[in-house]
Amino acid sequence: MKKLEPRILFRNLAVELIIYGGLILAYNFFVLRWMGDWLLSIFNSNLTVYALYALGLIVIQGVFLDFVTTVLMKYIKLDQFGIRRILDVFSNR
Amino acid sequence: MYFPIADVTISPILLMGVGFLVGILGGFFGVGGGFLAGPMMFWTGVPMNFVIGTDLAHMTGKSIVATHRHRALGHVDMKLGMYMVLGTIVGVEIGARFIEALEDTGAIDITIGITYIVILTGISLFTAWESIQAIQMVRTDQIDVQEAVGFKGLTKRIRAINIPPMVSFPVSGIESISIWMVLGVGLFTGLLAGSLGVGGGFIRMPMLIYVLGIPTHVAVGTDLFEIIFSSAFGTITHAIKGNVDILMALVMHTGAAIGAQIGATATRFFAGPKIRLAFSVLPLIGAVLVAIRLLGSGMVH
Repeated sequence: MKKLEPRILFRNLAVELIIYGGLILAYNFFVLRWMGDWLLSIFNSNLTVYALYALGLIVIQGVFLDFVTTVLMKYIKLDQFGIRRILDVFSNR
Repeated sequence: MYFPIADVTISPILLMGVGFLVGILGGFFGVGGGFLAGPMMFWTGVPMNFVIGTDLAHMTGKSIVATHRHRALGHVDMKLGMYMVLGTIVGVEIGARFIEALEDTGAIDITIGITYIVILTGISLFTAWESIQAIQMVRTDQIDVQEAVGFKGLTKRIRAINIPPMVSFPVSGIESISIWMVLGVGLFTGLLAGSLGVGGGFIRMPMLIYVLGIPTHVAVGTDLFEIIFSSAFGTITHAIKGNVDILMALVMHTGAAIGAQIGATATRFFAGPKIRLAFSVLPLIGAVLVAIRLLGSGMVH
């Protein structure tokens, strides 16, 4: 397998982290921030129901973020070190 | 950001950072990473009673991401994982009951602490020794690096045991092995995990490699697959006791998800012996952290 220069590799990684970071900040601000009171009311009323919600939420987020990160890595080509350079990907578009 | 369940305000960036670091370790080594995440979460300001349960919840989500990635790379033996889960659940239950019995003696913390240190140090030294042997074998004997394991004696003896029913695990390259050996390994790792109060990735990963003879990459992926179930079970039990702040876990997991992807992808670029050599440092860190805690609590003079 042809290896990518560390400089390019880290640039790929940085680009992905910036895109992902932006998406996640938006997610934190628009979704998670507003769930606090709702979760607290379930936590205070019934811990068994809360436990089921907790597991359900983390599993759903796990599947969702798996999809997001997989798409990102495929697009950025981070999982194919050495095949294409990230700058080539962007400059061709 | 305010987390009303734990009633604390913590920077989400810090939590995401902790998740990211632990995610890389988890994706690369196939461990839950609770030994590092716990102290780091406490350092960020997570109340102690929420540390373990919240960490387990974020571990569930992280393991889903890392397992999916490893599965895409052909590193997950789901059949083996399911058998191991069965053995592990029984082992954890026996381990938990053993701890209850030990509580009556009043020396539980020191006994568990010292056992933990001895086992983790032993695993660390053995894995380091074996992986260095394997790296030397590759250099001197010119053998395939993926097949290089410096210690195969136990695997040969285990596979020679012919107690039916026999099962095969094609993904792991095992043509035939007694089901009791697989369940036994799961039971033993579950027993240790249940007794020591840890997730068990530290113990399970080396056991898969040195006892069952699973290739390192498959051991990492299969271990993560098992962690999904064990941490999900732990999440439920801790949440029922009111020790999980799921909002905090969700924030941590946003960092862990990308870390786990990076860690899992990085395994493609390292051969088994090098992954094992790097892994050998982790149990040692865990042992040192426990030793510091014991010394700090004044139980050991």
